Amino acid sequence: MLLQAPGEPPRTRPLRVDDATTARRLTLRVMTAAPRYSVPAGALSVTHQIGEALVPVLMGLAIERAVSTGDLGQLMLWLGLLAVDFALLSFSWRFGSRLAELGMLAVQHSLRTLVTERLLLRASGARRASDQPGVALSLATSDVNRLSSAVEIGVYPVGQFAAVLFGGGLLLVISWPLGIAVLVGAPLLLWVTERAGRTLRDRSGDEQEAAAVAAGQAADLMTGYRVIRGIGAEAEASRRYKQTSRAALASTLHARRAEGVFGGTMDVASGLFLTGIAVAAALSAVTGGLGLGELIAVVGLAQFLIDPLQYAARNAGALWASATASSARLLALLREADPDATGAARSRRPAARGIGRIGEGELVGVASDGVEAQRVIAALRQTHPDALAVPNAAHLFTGTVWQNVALPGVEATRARAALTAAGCDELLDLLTQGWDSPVGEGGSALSGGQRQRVALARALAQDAPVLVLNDPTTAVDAVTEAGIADRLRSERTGNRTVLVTQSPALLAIADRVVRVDSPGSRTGSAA
Amino acid sequence: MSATSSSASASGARRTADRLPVADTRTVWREARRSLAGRWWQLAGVVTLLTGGAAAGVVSPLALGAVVDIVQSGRASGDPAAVWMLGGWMAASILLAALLGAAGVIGASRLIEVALADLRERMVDTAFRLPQSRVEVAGTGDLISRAGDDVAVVAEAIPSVVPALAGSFFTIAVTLVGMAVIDPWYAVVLLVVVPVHALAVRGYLRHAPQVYAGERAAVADRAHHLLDSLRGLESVRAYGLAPAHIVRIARVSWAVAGWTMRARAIQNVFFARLNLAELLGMGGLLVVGFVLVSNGSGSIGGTTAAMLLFLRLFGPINELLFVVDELQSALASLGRIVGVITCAPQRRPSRVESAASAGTVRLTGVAHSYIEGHDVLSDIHFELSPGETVAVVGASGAGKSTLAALVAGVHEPTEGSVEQECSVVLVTQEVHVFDATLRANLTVARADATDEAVVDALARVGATPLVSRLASGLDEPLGSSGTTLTPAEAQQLALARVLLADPELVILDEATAEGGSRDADRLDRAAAEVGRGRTVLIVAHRLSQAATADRVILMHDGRIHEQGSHAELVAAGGGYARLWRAWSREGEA
Repeated sequence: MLLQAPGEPPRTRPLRVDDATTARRLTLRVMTAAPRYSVPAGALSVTHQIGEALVPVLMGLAIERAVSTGDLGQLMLWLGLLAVDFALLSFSWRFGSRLAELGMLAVQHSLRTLVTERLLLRASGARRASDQPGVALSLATSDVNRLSSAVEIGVYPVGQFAAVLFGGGLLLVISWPLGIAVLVGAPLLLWVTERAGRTLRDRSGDEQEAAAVAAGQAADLMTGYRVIRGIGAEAEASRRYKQTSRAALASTLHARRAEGVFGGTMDVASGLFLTGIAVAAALSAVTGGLGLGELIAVVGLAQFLIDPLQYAARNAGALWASATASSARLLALLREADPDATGAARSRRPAARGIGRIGEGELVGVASDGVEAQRVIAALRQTHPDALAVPNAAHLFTGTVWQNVALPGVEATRARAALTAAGCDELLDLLTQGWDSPVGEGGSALSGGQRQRVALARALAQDAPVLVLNDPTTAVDAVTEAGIADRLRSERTGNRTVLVTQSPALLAIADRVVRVDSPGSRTGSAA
Repeated sequence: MSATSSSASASGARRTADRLPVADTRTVWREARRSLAGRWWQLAGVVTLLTGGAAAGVVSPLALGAVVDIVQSGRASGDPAAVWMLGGWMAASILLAALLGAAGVIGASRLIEVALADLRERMVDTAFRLPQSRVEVAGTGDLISRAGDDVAVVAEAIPSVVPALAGSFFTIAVTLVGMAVIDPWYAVVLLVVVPVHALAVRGYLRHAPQVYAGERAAVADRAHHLLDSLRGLESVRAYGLAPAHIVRIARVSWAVAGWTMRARAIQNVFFARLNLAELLGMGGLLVVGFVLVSNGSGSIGGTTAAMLLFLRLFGPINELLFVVDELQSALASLGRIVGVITCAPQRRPSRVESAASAGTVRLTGVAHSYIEGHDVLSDIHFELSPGETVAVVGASGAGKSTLAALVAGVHEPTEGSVEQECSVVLVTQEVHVFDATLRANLTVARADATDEAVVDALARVGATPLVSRLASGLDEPLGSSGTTLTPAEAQQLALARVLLADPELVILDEATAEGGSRDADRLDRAAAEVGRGRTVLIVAHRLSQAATADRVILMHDGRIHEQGSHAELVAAGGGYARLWRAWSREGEA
């Protein structure tokens, strides 16, 4: 089929962001980032709307020239013209909307890539709201989608505006007083009803969220299903949900009422306006001012013009507002300064004193509590910049066990040895597809202890010259932990290793053990 | 090898059969009717309002047709008064149509929203009354998506689907009648166009649902990959995986674009066919008008009115056809919601009647298997006396958690009996912080707990620092949209809930495992506090917990391997003694 999405995302104009960029300017840049698509799409949108505007005009002329005269040739002519007009409007829409969509998707894609790069490549350190995965996700999805919708502002409202100009011009030609009445009256009417409806719609928007809250709470309760069953809180959970559900229902009904009243008001206003135009046109026709076909065309055009006016007024404004709001949020992310790494490190330095440099092939145990452990690791990063400091959270990525351990650059034999050393071999009994078994979302197919062991294998497989492990076996049972401790020693032979832990089994394999407590540090050595 | 594959396929088949059911259309209607019981008069009222509104809406085009006839017949000598009168009729009918129509749509939305609220509440309530083992085999993920996504799909569909159905259906029906009143031949044209619409809808429905489903799946995949990298950001940085992950995300992101374009193409074909139907209808009306006027049996005004009526239908017809897809997916989601409700709402299985006194647990000859022929537990005999603390130790896969779940009553044993007549709480490694305030997170265990009791429970599990860390104290919102707790803090909450629930028997299944080294001691102390004055079964992975228990059970391959007090087992020099020596090496140094 013509105009499918190409295999590779089409290139767009670069979306530059610097200190001078404002939210409005970024929105404008996004709007015009894919002119190859949006310009022809805008032109097709114009022809589509003009085709729509011509339908009532052709209808009036056909009734006047063919039906009222009984001239068969005229009937054929007007039927033909009607068919041509429908072909014009239908194909204009078909290709115009597709081009617009493709342009928007291309811009959306480059914007998303920009945001993802920023999220994944920026330095860690400063506490930021966008460190929360949920917040970051909504930036990379909802906000990117909303901002890239700005591309549509350059397409559809252009066509709608053209339709209003075209229809208004036709009306002026048919009867200039009626033309002026429609061109001035219709926007005025819309402005008044929009103002009346704005508060109603704002409220209904807020209340829509109540329904989302109910759905969110239900999902939350189900996520905690085992916890609720475990403490026997079924009745309380059900009662709470009912409460939320009823509150959501009340505000949803409120919203429906507001929407209904708003819709009804718009119907009355536009209906009365059209009646006024029709009566004025009919009075003019009765006294001989307007022809029959012109009368029908005026009534039809006035009815048609309401739609593009409504959309141009309502949608373009709403699109711009939501795009600019998202633009501001994304700008904050794209422009944020990297945290001051040196200042943060200086305060951490004292913790490293007791540890000293790690000797060649040495395995050092650091017995340290939670807060101090973070400072110790930060300090080790300073003294050994090439160190692989393994995060405490054992996060596995979507994929198989093997894909998680044999990262790019890791040889198969290394990965296999690391899996064995980390005590993963006994997992083979549970995994139906061996190392190629998927680990599930975030490793959810594995238990906490199993996840930790695979994460440990991943770290060992790197064969890093300096490896810092932070509490690698907290969720592993005592029997397995003892086995891991034995193998870890030989696995790291010849390399430098730091084990930050309070596990006796792990500290027992260290060459020396440093105790780092909050007040100071002292050194002891293990047998 | 063959054994593995056969058991894999058996478990695959089992999984499909054990998923929670999806209700068929008839069942959905039955349950929806039940939710609307006693509201039949409201439904009748809504139908009356919508019919009246649609009927009033036909007046204007008919009046315009009459105006055209006046103009045609009495050009230059026509009666302006007649035009004014028809104008009055039009204005009045427009007011009436808007009033009745709006009231009808509001009423229809109300009925459907009320029914939906009732259905979703019944679903959640039923979910909590199902036997837990039923949910365990189906997976809680299924419940989560039904309670969250499916409810949201239906709720989002209502604002567009209900007005479209309510408005369009009656408008189309009444317009058809209006055309027939002018001349039956006009109505015939409308009926001739219907097959074109039907073909358009059929073509659309044949392709659109799969493409939309594909698009939704691609969007979910994109969110999934983004979250995967964002949640594991520390690991992404540590292993230098950012470039690879950016490429991966870009790939799934552009995959969504492919689906979106496919959906757009299908929509465009659909619209083109609707345009064709419009053209055929208008052409047909012109031809019929031409013939009727030529042979003197129709008027120009009649043709005009018929055309105006038809023009007015463009919107409603498109709206109606366009929500067909949304209606379909809403019905599919309703089927999944109602499916939970229809799961036989059994009571929790009643326990074996026993002479055991409160706080006593007795397991006799218990064996258990999740998959037939694969015993996870076998030949388990043991007893828990009131106030006694028993620790279960053993390697992963030894059956410790299954034993805990059987004692808690999550599963019924495949063989033997579990006698247990007491209030019981099970805390596992799986902690959940509810998306609610700190207070609400605790009072879930006891709804009538006072703030004092809540604060006291937090203090006893050592979580006082947590309360002072949170800016709003007990009122601090936690969970997915609030402040994030560390795993250790989340486990403290879980233990504080036990204090509030105040059961006779508490089962802790590695309930203190997730924290770091330092937190371990604190959590162990909290667990000890929770167990004070209760019967405790604790699945321990740190032997320090076993050392302080009254009795220790060492499990191996689903059987009880050793049993006795810590001192006895250490002295006996068996498996437990070996474990203990490995564990306490550093402790002695």
